[in-house]
This record gives sequence, C-alpha cells and structure tokens, in this order.
Amino acid sequence: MKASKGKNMLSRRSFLKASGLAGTGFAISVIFSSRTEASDSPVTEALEDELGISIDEEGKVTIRVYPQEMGQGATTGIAMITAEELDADWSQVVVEQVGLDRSFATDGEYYGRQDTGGSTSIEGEWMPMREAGAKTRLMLIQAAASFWGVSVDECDTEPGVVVCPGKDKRLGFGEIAVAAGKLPVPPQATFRNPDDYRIVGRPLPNRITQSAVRGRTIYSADVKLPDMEYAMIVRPPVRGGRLRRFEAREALAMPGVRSVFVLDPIDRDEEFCKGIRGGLVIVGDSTWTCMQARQALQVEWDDGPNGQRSSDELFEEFGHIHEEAETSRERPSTPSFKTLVADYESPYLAHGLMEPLNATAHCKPDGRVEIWIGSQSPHYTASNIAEILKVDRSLITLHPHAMGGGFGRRFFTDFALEAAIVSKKRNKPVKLVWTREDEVQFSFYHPLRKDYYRCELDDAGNILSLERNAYTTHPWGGFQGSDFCYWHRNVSSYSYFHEEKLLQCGSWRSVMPHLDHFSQEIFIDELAHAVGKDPLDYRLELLTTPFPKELFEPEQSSQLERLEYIQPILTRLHEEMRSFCDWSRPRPEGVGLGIAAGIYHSSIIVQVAEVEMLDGKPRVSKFYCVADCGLAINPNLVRGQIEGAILWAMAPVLYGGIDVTQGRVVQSSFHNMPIPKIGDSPEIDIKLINPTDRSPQGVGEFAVLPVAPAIYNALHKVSGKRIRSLRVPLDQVMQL
Amino acid sequence: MKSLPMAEIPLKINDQSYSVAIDPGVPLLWVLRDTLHLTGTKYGCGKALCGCCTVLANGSPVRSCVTPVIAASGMEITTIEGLSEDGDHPVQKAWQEEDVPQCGYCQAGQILSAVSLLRATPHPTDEDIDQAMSGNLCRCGTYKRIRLAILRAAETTRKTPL
Repeated sequence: MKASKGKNMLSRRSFLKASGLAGTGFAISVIFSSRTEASDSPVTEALEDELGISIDEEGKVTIRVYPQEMGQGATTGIAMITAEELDADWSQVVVEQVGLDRSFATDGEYYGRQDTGGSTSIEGEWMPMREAGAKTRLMLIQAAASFWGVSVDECDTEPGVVVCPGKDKRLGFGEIAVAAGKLPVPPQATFRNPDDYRIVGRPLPNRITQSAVRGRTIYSADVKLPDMEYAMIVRPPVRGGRLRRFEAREALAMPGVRSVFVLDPIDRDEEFCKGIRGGLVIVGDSTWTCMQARQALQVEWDDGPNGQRSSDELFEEFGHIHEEAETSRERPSTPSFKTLVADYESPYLAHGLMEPLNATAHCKPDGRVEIWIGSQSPHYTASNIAEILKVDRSLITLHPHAMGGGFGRRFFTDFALEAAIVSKKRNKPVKLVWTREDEVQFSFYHPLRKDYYRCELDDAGNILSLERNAYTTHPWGGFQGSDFCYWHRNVSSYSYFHEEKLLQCGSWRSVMPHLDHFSQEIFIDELAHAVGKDPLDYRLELLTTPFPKELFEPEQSSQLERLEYIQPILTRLHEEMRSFCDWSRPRPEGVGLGIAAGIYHSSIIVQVAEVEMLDGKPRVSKFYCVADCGLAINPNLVRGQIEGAILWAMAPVLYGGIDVTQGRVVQSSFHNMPIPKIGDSPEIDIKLINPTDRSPQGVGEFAVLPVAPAIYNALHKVSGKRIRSLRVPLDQVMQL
Repeated sequence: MKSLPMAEIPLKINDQSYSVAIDPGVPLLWVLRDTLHLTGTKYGCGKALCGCCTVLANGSPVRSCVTPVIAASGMEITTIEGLSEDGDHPVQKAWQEEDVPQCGYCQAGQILSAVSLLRATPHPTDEDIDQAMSGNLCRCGTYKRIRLAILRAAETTRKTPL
C-alpha cells in the first residue's frame, strides 16, 4: 500500500490553476495529475471544493487540504505550511477538507492524493502546498504593485497585507484578491526564508480542538439523513465461515425492525481485502432497534476449516517451521566464542478505535451513489464501491468526515462496501453501524509474528555474524521496511509468510516497522548484556563503527546512501539522550532505565523508559524521548503525536493482544481487551531536535516503535527478567 | 430482550424540556443521538466501559449507554452541548489551552467527568484524577494533557468555584 502509493505520488505532477470567484475574490487550485512530465496541457477544471487556496473580498483565506484527519493533526500542519508561504494572517484562515478528488472519476487510479496512511501527509504535501502558497502571495503582490504603479521588488507582505514600505501603502489580501485572480499563475516564486517564518514552527492548536470541546465535531456516526434507515450486520464468527440457517421471526416482530436479509461474502484480494465478510443484515429505525433485534436472531454458522484453529497453535507451528529450517540451514563453520539466540513473539493486535466503524450510504434510483464516511482512503474506498456496485466512477460522491481514530484500520473499505450494498438493496439512505464487539472481532489485525535472532560473537565480544528470521501472518513480511543500522557485516535476514487465513491482517499504527523494531531493539539490548556493556554505550559503539563500504555492491548504493544519512542522526539522538535523561545517574533501588530507538521513513526517535517495581510488579513511570522528524511544522502537534504513540504502544505491553480459539476472536470489548487508562499514563519528557535543514517528516507513527522494547529493556535492568513476548500483560510477566 | 410499550417520557436536557414517545427501556444515549440528534454524546462500547457516552445527571457523571431513558426522566441532564453557551466553561477553556483533543471523539465524556470531579474535589491530587477519570478511555493517548487541563481548570476556578 505504502510503496505503491508513494510511487504514484512521485509520477504525478502538481498543477496550479487560478480562477476568479464570481467577482468576490479568487482561488488557486493545486491539482495532482498523473499526466507525464512531457505534457503541460491544462488539467481538468477544478471543482469549487477542490480549490487549494481561496481568498474572499473580506480577506478570509480558505485552505483546503487533501489528506484526511483522524487525530494526527496533519491537516492543521498542511494549512500552516500553505499559510506560511502565503504570509496569511492565521486568524483569518479557515481550514477545510477537499471532497472526493475529482481526478478520481477520470484517472482510473486505485489510490489517490487523499488516501492517508504511512505518515506521508506532511511529507507529501510540503512542496505542492508551499508552492501554491508562494505563488498566490506573488500574485497578490503583482496585483498590488500594478495598482500602485510600483515595481514588484518594492513590495512585500505582512500577515494578510501587501505593503509598499517606500510609498507607505498597504492593501489587505481581500482588497486585492479580485485583481490578483485575473493574473496568470507565475511560473516561479521564491519561498520565504525559514528565519522569517511566522506560522511554521509555532505551537498552534489542532484545528479540531475548538469544535471537539464543544461536542460539535461531526463524525460520520453523527450523520442523519431524511428517511434514513439503520443497519447492523451479524457476521460469521470464524473467518471463512458461512451461514447455515437462521430464524428471524422474533426479530422481525419487534417494533421498528424493517428487514433481515442475507449478505453474501465477497472475497477479493487477500492482501488488502477489498471484500466483505458477509453475514446477516438487520435493518431498523434506530441503532438501538438493530442492537435489540440482533439479540433476538437465531443464527447457525458453518465454521469451515478455521473452526478448530487457534492463535496458540500458530505460534507452535512457527516454532516447528523454524526448527525445520534450522536443520537444513548450512552456516559457515567459523569458530565463535559465544552464540546468542533469542525468539520474540507478537500476537494479533486490534485497534480499539473509540468511534466504532460506520458509514452512511445512499444508492439512488438514478444510479448515483453518495457516501458519508470517516475514512483514511476516500479515493480507494470509492474505487472499491464503483467496482463492487458496477457503477461509473463519475456517479460516486463521497463526503469525508472527521474520524474517531483511524490508526490504519480506517484505510480498509469493508464498512463502506457494506453500507453501499445494504443501501442499494433497501433503495434508501442507510447508516451501517458496527458495535464495539464488531470492531474488536472483525478487525484488520496487526499480524501475529515470531522472530528468531542468532548472533555469533568472538572472544572479545565482537559480532561475527547476525541472523534474523521473521515468521509472519502478513504478506508484507518482515524486515523489509526498516533500516538496520547497528551492524553491516555478515547480516542475513529471512522472512517467511505463513499463508493462513485465520484472521485478516492489515495496518496498525506504525505497521510492520513496529514488529521489526520489537525484536531488534530488545536483541541489541541482549547483546550489550551478553558482552557486559552499558546498553547506551554499546549502541553508540555499534553506530559509530565505520561502514564496511566495500561490502555494499554497486546495486546497493541507495541502501548505503540511506544508511549514511540515517546513522549519524541516530547516533546524535543517542548522544543527546545520554544527557537528556541523565543516563548515568544512579536510580533509586527498584527503578531502572531501558533504551530503544525507532526509524520510520526519515523520522527518528530514541526513547528511554523508566520502570519501577512496586510490590513486585513493574510499572512504567516515565518516558524520555529525543526526536528528529525534520523541521517541526507545529511542535505542539508533534509532541502530541509522540505522547499519544507511547500510550498506543503501551496497550499490548500492559494488556496483551488478541487470542483466537476455535477460530473465534476471544476478546470482544474493553473489559477483556483493555487499553491504557489515565492512571497507566507515564510522565513524558520530549526533546525535539527540530533541524531546519531537513524537510518535515511524518510523525504519526514513528514514536510507537521503541516503546515496547524500551519498557522490556528497563524491566530487565531493574529485575533481571528478560521478556520477549507481547502476549503476557505486564503485571503478570514476573510470574513467567 | 422484550421491548416495553411506548410511553411519553418527559426529559430535561440542557435546561430544555422534551417529551419523547419511546420504549422506556431504551438507553438515554440513543434517545440523545438518534431521536433528539444531540450527537455530542458518543457511542463507544454500549457497556459502560469506555466513558464516551458520559453525561451529567443532576451533576453526577452517568454512562448514558446503560441508563434507561426512564431513569433519566426527572433528572437534570447535561450534555456537552449544554455545558456552556459557547465552549467557555472553565474546563472547556482549560482543554483548549492545553490543546487536549487529537481525534476528539472521547473528549465530551472526558470533559464532563472532569467537571464533576472538580465540583466534588476542587483541588484534586494525581490520585484523585486517576480515580475519577479511570472510566474515560482515550485511544489517541491524550492523558498527559487531560491531567494538565484538569489541574489548570482547578487553578483558574480557585476563586470562583464551579
């Protein structure tokens, strides 16, 4: 998903187009086109809700952003980037979301600029939105200069105003907007000097805050349409299960229940599961009616082949597969002094989005389809609806809404497809609602995975060889999206995809790098311990060992280049951390520190967890973070993402993961799938490096990566207990 | 579960009187959301486990997802929409000053629980906060700021109690 999306983005160009707004101001659109570099022909006319920047005569600046908002704050950041180059008065800026990108109807791509995942929003929008802002500013200056009869060079801007200091003249953006809108978009514009930034770098509030504290943020769960019906689906509890028979008489007799019907499963594309699970649909006049009718239904399922399988069994199978691989694996018989082996387990994990999935769809008699949804992937979602309903893309309208959490789950489209199919069947607008139990039991889970590490050391503690094996339930495999910076000689990585269909796997905040880091960051700590070195000293020793450049083949030059870019930053963050957390200061009895690092794209973070033992039980009391995510557009939001990521990643550490027995997910709601509470929340201290020479990088996920390893490394420090599994809740690990 | 016959149920929500013809066993949450379209109160779990549906009943926090509407009749119900005229309740102001929300979904429940805490305990300790707020989950992990916002609100209301 991430890779293919990235490629699409690169092959696209952004086009700017200005247009007058019927005499009331002007607007400029930033359209991504998949046309080739060679073609400069104008792109399709932008629709009004696709205009990137518009300025009305009152001077109000509306900035419309493509990426979706799920709490990560990217839409605020993108608006700030745009407003900075425009030199807008931030108090005059209104931020809106673009509707369904119209290129959707014409370009045939499955994914688009709106689809939001992999922490790519800020990185991807940085250049196009800067350019739009800078060119708009220049047009305003040009219009004012021509009005005053002065040269452009004599003019400048102050927030929301064009000024000509020499002539003591000023014109508000709104006053000059109509004239500016008649000018051609300039081919070039210069960016503002970072030293003069007035908006970027300020800790401004999340744009959602004002409405959220008033209860006025509209999520798709809050949508209500005239004549709307409510629907809920009882899904087969075992993946691949089928409906055998059902009895709905009692349910249908309940007041408000309109219909009960069978929804066939749609199996399509294992990797992204563009299909739906199917089941039994209940349609009623309210959410509660559907919930009640659900209790009254009698349903029998044919569980199919997964009905006897369990997640415990999978871990065992992975063990057997690894043992078998070991017997046939030939290793060079270099004499080593010591061999360190360790295996790491991560169970399936669910999201626990506070807003359970929902979507409202209206399939109209004339063939048009409208959908109201909080989705990370409007473009991808609409693509799937068009394909499943067999309607022309131009007939689909999608209204993006704020999301009560996304975290990777809302990239997938099952809930949207369900809503659309049910609405089509009912010929009415339908709100399709998932319960909390549905959300926990029919997720796109973080994959179950087991990693095996093996390291040969010489008698001086030097690494002779390092081998790592990942056994995973996701086709994306292991170790492919992560940089391994600690050692480069005789490193071998194997990834084995176990093609089972016990649960559907997908993306969970920080995706595969989370699992790569989980094993890797504990193993480095184990190595430090094995050679009797301080973990921070040892990491720095590895990180500052010169690259064996001769080992990199010419075709690996980009890999080498990347390591040469990342490694010094990672090294510096470790050094900063030493003083930031006062690493060498002895801690009181029963308190220990553990260190781990994370690299996600080019956002890098080092964390130290402090664990204290209270009555024999460990408690995470504090987190120190030193982070470099490039230029921090909004330090307030960057810090918020780091704070949130720590709590996110603590969930499996504190409470374990998802278990499957007899093909069924055991957990169902927050009583047996707890998530951290306020009392679990550690103190969090963050230092942002904020380099001005690195462009801004994504921050939604990177801070997830070191959390679990840092905690387990600290636990080892304080108790001597080495934990290598996310399956056991923290308050039980001491009994292992 | 059998539904009960419809009844005219009088409700007082945010100082406004309503009369709703509905099964008295329906949880208040769904009357607020589906019938009255007061959507600031959220569904999170339906089992009083997450706190998204928190409203105040005579000033005390209740989980509206497990409160039958008949039980709310005769009580003064306050939802996030009715906490202040325009988001200027000291707790809402503190929430904005600390910039607490990320996705925002749980925050109405968090704010109402905090209001109730500060009414009963104007100067809460960390333990008081942990205890009073333990039923309000936030998946975005905004707890650090929730704590700061509560302490800030406690500070600003030192002179004018809630």
